[in-house]
Amino acid sequence: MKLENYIDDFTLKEKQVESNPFLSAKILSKLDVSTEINSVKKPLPLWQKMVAAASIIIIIATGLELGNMATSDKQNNLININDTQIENLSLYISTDYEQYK
Amino acid sequence: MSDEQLIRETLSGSNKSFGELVQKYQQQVFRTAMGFVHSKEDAEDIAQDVFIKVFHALETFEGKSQFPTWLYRITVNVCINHINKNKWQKLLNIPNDGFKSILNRSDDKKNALQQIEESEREQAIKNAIDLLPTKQRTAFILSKYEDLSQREIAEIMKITEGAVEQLLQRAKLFLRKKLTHIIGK
Repeated sequence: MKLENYIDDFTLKEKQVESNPFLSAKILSKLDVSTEINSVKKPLPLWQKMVAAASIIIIIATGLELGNMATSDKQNNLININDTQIENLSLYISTDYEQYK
Repeated sequence: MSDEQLIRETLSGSNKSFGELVQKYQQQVFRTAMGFVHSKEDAEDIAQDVFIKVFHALETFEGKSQFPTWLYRITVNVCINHINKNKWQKLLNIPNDGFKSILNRSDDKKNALQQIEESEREQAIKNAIDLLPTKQRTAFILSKYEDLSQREIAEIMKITEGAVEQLLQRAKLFLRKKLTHIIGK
């Protein structure tokens, strides 16, 4: 069959393509890089994790303490203002005012 | 050295043994990938991905099947994933490089018209193979590119030999249907 021959010719052509002879070297060098990265990523020891957790707790506690100190320092000073002396309204509402004009 | 020995040494930490394993099977993996992607550069990228995956999964290889069978399975899976990932990219690319391929050839026996015809025929066959349903395409490539028997293909695809025969028949009919009006009988 002619069509089958064309398909066979096509597949034969592609089968004959050679891969890069340095492919294995490329793969091995990629593997070396990936194993280096994996070896750097070591899990933290337990004491380091505990120190980190304790530091966070201390920072939060310090923040809360500072906040409490800030609110307790507020002083409630009352200022008495007698505004009757600022402006003597009786001068204006008195019937004798007309005389002073 | 046998595959089992090379695998044992690789698992013990010998990259040199893995290098030997790669050299032994790289053309097999590359050829299978060529059947799926029809491009030397893409096939080499796939081959790299396959062997990196094999390296990391080597300790899970139980030896129930032969190493080449296991390797073929990984290769087929990586190829199919690659195709699915690049499906949309391929739709945007114009695949016909017929004129470029003619300019690159120095075939004095064929004239330009014959070379154009050959190039268009190859492109049509390539496109038709790419349109095959996944299982038919896998069976077709393992049969045509790797010259594997139906029994071997059945083991790789984890199906019966009868199912492989059906897939190959359907693939043949599909390609005939797609290509007859372009190439003729």
